[in-house]
Amino acid sequence: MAKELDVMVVEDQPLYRDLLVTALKNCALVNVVGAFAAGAAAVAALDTLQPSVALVDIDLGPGPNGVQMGLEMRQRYPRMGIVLLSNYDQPGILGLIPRREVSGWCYLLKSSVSNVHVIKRTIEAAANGLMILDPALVQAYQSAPSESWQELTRRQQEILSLIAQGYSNLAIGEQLGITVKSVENYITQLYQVLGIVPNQEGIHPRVSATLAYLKAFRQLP
Amino acid sequence: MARVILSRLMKSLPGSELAVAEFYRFHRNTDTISTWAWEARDSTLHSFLAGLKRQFMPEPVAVTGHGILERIYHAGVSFAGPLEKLLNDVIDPRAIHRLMARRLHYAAIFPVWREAVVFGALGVYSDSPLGQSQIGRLKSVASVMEQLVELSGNLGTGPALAAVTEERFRRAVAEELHGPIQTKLLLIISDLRATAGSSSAVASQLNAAIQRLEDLREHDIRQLSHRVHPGIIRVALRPALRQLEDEFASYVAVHLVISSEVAALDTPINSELSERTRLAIYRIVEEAMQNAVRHAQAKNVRVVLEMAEPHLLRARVWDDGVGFSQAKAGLGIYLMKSRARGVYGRVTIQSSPGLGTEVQALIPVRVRLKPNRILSRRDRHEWEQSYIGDHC
Repeated sequence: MAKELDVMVVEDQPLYRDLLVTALKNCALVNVVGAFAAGAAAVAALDTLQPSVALVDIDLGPGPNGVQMGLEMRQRYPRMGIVLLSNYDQPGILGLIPRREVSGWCYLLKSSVSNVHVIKRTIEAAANGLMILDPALVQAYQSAPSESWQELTRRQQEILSLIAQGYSNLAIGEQLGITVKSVENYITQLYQVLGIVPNQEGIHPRVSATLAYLKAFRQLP
Repeated sequence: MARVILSRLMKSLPGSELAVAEFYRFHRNTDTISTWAWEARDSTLHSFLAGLKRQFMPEPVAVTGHGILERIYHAGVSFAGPLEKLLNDVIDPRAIHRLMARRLHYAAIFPVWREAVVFGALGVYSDSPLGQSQIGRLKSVASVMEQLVELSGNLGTGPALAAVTEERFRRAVAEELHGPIQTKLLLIISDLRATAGSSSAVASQLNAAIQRLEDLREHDIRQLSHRVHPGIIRVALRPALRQLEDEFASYVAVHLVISSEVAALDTPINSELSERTRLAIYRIVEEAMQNAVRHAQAKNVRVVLEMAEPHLLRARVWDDGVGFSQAKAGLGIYLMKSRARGVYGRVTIQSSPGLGTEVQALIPVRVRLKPNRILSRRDRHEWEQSYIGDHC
């Protein structure tokens, strides 16, 4: 995918907004088409700017919050990717969005602004209708696994973590030192264990997998 | 203030001996009623009435089915006459029977208005019929009540105002901690990393400093901000309660259960739970858990959220600790009750040695009533015909 992605930023704090826009400008293939301090102005500009992805702070000060703004934007443009930005480690709010509509919503910690790879991967995932989590969160969870997590094999755990962070099969293979074919086999097994039927209800199985990951770490509301 | 008015009223009416006077308050956002103040003529009657209320009108209570109160709420009608006339009017006439058994045969109930909306009602119950001049007197008391309401404004007084003020301050502090301070630290860390990268001589020292700053930002400040104000509550209640669960997990075993009915109310858009209500529930649960850990040495805490009735949310926090000691937990109890009152709910606490403590909060929530449920019972016009100006 060598196409440039148009992104919009909605962030009420001027200091962070500038920081984010600067970081995005350092991302190849990402084009910032607008930066707004409040949701209303951003929604009003949607028709003109037509971004593929909006990066939205959950906390926008008085008025509607980022989740509400994202839902409103998606009503007009259902395929638009929404990356929720937050200092809270509450990816479980993705569980508040109806399952059929959660594809394309991603969760990023504000502190990841300095990590160009993570920003890029998250924006791409959102644009492609996936649902992924900030890797820093995933790392934090590993230290407090639940029982259902421990029912997975070591490999399955590794792979599910990487899926939740938005790694492609190729990238997973590189990370774990195995072939893409092996990755695909493991994933098929994983879906079986998690009870995920590919394309059930029109939901991408990787999205279902990420939701299962959140559930395994008791992060769903 | 309301009680003063009522007791003056009871002393001042010539002729009949007024037995009971009450101010009811309507909550428009939840279609419920609660009693603002009430007075009884003597102490035996007072205990009788307190028992009656506990049994038949534990508050807050849905307007629907409360006969004359329902009609006052919707149409601002009034009533004066024998209590008998209301027997077929209400869903549960037992309370009326009990009043009549105590020889309280007459009632007069008037709306209290505020800006063209019925805000509440003044009700008096007496053992002898009320004359025209007495009715006139009651109407003027109702209008005094209207002026009192006007003066005290939207927020009410005392506890509710204090809670709102405190939350506003907490939110401001949390936003500062969560926002600008976090960003500034991010920038500092970023600059230091760049410096460490460019000069290997001081790299290890710098990296140590960077790590400490990261910890400060990531843990201390972020956690402090959460404890001051759970920002995520602006989106929904459940993630905030999960956060609370995580926070307390290192002190006690916490089990959080949220019923599917409550989950259905807690949506990011068009939530049936207002932010104020969510925050009140959160603070009550937080306080109960803090008491369990700090004063009761509990090992296990169970938090359950469910709908007690279609419009009433029940939050229960049970712990297996040694129970409340008034001395240490007095303020905590006061704060919980105060939070509940601020959103027209109430908190009760039950504690017994060996069985632990249970804090129960009942909070009215807005649930859209089915449109024709009330009007189908009687035509509004018919009500007004039968009851307006019906003086004995």
